[in-house]
Amino acid sequence: MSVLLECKNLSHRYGKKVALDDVSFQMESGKIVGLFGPNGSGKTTLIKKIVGLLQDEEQAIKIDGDPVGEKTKAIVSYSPDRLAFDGERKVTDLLDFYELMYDDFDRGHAEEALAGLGIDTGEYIGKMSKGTGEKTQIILVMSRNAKLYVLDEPFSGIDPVARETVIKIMLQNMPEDASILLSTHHIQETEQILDEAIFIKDGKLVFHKSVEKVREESGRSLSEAYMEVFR
Amino acid sequence: MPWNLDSDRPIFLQIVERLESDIVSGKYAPGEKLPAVRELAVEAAVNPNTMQKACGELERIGLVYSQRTSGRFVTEDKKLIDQTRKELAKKTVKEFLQRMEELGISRDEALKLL
Amino acid sequence: MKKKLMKQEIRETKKWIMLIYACIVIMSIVTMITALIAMNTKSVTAEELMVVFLLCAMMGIVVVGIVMAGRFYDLLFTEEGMIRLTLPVKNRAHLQTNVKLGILSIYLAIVIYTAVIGIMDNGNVFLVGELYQGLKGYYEMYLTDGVVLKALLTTICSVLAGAVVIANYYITFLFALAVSRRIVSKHGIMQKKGVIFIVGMVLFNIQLLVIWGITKLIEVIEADLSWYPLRSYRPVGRLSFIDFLRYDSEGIWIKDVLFGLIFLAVYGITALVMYRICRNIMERKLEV
Repeated sequence: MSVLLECKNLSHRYGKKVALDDVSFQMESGKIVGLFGPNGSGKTTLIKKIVGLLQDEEQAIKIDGDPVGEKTKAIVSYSPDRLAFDGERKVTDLLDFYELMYDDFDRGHAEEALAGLGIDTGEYIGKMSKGTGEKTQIILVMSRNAKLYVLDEPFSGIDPVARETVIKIMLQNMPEDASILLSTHHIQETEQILDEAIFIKDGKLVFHKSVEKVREESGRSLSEAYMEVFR
Repeated sequence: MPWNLDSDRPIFLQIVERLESDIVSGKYAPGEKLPAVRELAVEAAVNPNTMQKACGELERIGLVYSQRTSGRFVTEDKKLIDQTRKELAKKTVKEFLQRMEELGISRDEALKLL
Repeated sequence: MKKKLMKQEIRETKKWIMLIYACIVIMSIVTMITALIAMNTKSVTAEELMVVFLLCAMMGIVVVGIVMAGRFYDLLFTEEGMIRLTLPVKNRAHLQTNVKLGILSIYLAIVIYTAVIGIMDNGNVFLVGELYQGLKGYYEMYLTDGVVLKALLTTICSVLAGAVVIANYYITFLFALAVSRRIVSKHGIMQKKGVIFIVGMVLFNIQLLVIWGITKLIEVIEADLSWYPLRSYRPVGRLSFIDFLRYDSEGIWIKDVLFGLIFLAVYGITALVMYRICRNIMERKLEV
């Protein structure tokens, strides 16, 4: 297992407010890692640093050995915490966009997955329910053959059935040596699919463990461990 | 449907138990091919790595064997399956008795109830 | 990758841009028709309508710029930017693509407008054909004087100056957006639109000051020129460079060339500076 993502003493501030404070961790390839923490703890900031929406001037992040930039963006597939496309676009437009811009995008695969969920490619994004929109976005993101998938809150505001579907899409489409970094509040619903969990509190990394180890050592679930850390 | 797993015990052990009982109960017949790890993981909604590890464990026990290219198959060794069945049964009885004990019911009383 | 980005941007904007181009053509035609009616019937209403239609046609050019700059706004300020800014290209490629495409589509809009008005205006002297007539006038005036080179030089200079001024305005748009983005993310300000408005207004006023300065400067130069004793000294004989500079029966062309060159320099340099700052923000400071 090689190190896919490395953060070394990563910090970030918005104005005077410290959003990330000296965060260091490593992520191996082939792992699904959960990123947990209350609202405003720095999860989205960390993710934005990794995908390059916030500048990493100190080059504290290395992905596959490279600092964040053109090269890493080509191997990172990112799903923002909100639906990113305006409603006037059809699903086919998004397929065209991904196909043109990403060499590793498998259009046939995406179309199959969409058809499998009964999502019409002629449909406008704006006319979809939130759950369908989220499913579409995850299918697009997971239909790339990337090395690292960064999913920010893929389950926010969708019902339990849709959530289950999204988890299935993730597991089905993830290439074998690829990793997923998953930020979510749904700790109970996702802990079965995780290899590792990272807890962030006030911009600091306070917990980074193998989920199975937590269960083995303390006989407790991850959500119990979470409650203990944040209560 | 995702499998019903407890999140306070290692998922890996629970998957092994679940697959064992699936084999013993005949859901997967002797000699039958097991679904691919990825498929099983998606069905169970668990991490593919964990599923991989569980399948490896079953292989170690001998309940399944793998053929390099075509996948994993359930063992045709009926004896081994019977043995596993007995072990699982014993374990269940033990758990049952333990629970009864917790409730303050002696073995004889439990037998009567049965 | 840059080519792909360009292709994507064209795909995103072509529907709107084509629609606006069609509007410009229709509005220009309607303008000329009402102008004809106004001339023949001496109707005041028709004349007023003509002005309205003309303004509509000219607004089309501005709207092209707004649509293209809107793509840059989406990039920096909306959710869509999160997807576009994580594409495997350098951040500055987005700026380069938008500048190229934006300026080109504005030029194309102006060419369409000028061509339609010019063709319709053929032979008649209306004020509405000003740009076209002006260019034609320059050329004919110098052509009949037999000084083709001067005519060409003046025409080229004026067109280039106009082009640079327009490019400058477009880049100012983008500059205001990029600077606003920087201010908003650096200070964590939530009122994004307010910041854009303030930065835009400040830049607009600076531009006005610059124009005022240039106009004053040119007035001074003009005044100086009319004192210049050698100005219309010799008729055209051989076209040596000195002759070329000195001869001018009207004394207009040298003003036009100078005017053009000064505009070219001032607007060109400020546009370049703004572009560099924009690029720097995109590459090193952009945070969304």
